[in-house]
Amino acid sequence: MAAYIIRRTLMSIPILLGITILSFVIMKAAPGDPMTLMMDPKISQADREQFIEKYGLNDPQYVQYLKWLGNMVQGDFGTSIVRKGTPVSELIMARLPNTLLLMLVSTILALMISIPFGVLSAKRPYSKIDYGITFTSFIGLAIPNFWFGLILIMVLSVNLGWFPTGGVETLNTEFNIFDRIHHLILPAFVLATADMAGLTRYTRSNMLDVLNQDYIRTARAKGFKENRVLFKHGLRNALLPVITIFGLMIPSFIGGSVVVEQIFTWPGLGKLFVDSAFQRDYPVIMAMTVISAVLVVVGNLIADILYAIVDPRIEY
Amino acid sequence: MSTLLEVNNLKTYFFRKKEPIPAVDGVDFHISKGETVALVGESGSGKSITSLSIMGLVQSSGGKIMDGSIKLEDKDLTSFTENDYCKIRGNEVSMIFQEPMTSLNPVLTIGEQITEVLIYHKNMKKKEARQRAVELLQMVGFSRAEQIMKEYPHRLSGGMRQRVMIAIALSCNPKLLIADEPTTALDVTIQAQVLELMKDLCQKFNTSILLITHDLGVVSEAADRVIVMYCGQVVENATVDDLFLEPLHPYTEGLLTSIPVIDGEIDKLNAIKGSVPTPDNLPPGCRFAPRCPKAMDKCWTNQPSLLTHKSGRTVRCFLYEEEGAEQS
Repeated sequence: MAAYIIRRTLMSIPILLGITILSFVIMKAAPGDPMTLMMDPKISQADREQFIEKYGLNDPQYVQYLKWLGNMVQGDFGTSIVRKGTPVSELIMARLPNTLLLMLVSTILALMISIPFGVLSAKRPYSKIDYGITFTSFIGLAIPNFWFGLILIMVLSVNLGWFPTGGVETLNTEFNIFDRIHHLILPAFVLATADMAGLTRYTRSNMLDVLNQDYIRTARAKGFKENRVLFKHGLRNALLPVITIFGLMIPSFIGGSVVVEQIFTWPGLGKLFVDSAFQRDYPVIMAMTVISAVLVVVGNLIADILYAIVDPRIEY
Repeated sequence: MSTLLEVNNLKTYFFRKKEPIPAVDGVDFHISKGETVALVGESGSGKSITSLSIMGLVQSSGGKIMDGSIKLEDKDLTSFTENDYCKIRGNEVSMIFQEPMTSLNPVLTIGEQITEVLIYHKNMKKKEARQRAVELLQMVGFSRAEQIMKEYPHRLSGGMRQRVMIAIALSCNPKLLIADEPTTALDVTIQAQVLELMKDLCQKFNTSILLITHDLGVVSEAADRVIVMYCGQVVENATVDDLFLEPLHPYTEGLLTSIPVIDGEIDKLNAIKGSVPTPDNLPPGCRFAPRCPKAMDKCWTNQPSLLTHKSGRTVRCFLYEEEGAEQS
């Protein structure tokens, strides 16, 4: 197992390298540059050139990339161009915890809701409950989360006043865990919807499959009550493929968090990413790319390891 | 010998578009304490559904017991609720299935799968159950029982898995063991081993066996009495010796002559012509009439009932009506 983890970690290095090269090339190929966006149009040519020189934007692109790579490996993501020399790591560290918290909570929420509903659906297939759950899941899949978020804000926050409209905590108050949770509920739920729907459907079909297996009949023949048959003997087998799917869902969580953070003015990486992309703030964009790529690679690694833990037939 | 299980006029139907399909249609038989009874018949004759009806598992596969009674000692199982049944299944009546390769849960250890039954039915402590499970594994012939406890099913061969299934089935000293084609999926060399093991252990525990099979070799080796089923009905009920010496029903005779003989020089293998009618499309008269070499005119229109032959055996055939047999 340890050997497998080391091998997988080493294998992810070329993947990450490839991702950074591609993103760097695409980013540079996009029209526009940070100067035109942020500088006073009346700035003198000499000042402008001095600025460009200072950020090394005159070097050939491969030199720029190698310089960036060299610094990045040493943990230096450079400084933001647009935000007047603020270190990128500082910008990110201020926001990363918020985003991770949002992703973690919505992941747990998605699992906690979709797995029981999937099992319930499979327990009585083609019943009213099953149709209800299926119908709701398809709605969940079909609704774009920016729209769903806005509707929830309008109804639950503005009209009913049950939830705050955005942010991580009530401003100018001391840290309060309940206040934090209160702010977290809506964005986490919205971020979870799409994956929740998919996971429910997936759990249902796997569970249906498992319930027709001979070992479920054996469990029944042992005299166990239905719930024990379902949860002890069925669910663990049904969840095996779900783990893989879950690893594949991590990118959608990252992408989704960009949108959800904008809507709920959640001060996370998503908003920073969008702003930086518009402003061509190269160092920030690159840092963000590395972080999302690492999240995806690590997420899939964890999924594979989990798979081996849950399924004794898999050995690495 | 006192009666352990008595099945009377059991009717188990399945439903397709509300249309009833009689998979088991009025089956009567009994099993005495310590007796091994074989239930024989072609695929689709209702043997497995009969056994699932006794286990109370027929509902979960979509069937329904419409009529009749299943009496285990003095309890009528057909009146049992699901909760009552949960106390009996795996405890007083247990079952071994045809497919040892897929009948064990792949993600649980062998030890877990044996001990959970003991903890559930016998209220054993974990440690006690472990000890008992090791004993059971030794009993079914594992020399390294302690190690097997920690293994997962995929590490064991088919024969080993079936022995584990036997250990699980016998763990609570059941009164009745239903073995649904327990050796069909195994190598011929392993078949005899498993069968013998099952017989030995059941003798030790004084457990009756209902052995479901279509292998007459297995029947002659293991059973005391044979019930032949055809199209959801019992067509003959006799001791093994009687049945093999003198089969009464033309269907039984057909089955026996279909066994290839190794030392005889035959060019052609005997077979019963035609195939089993599906339960939704049964002939109006005797269900075997279309395939029967001895069919008479009335066989096509009238249904024979189960008759008690003068030798005390029962048979469902008009051929024996004249011989002074009385309707049972």
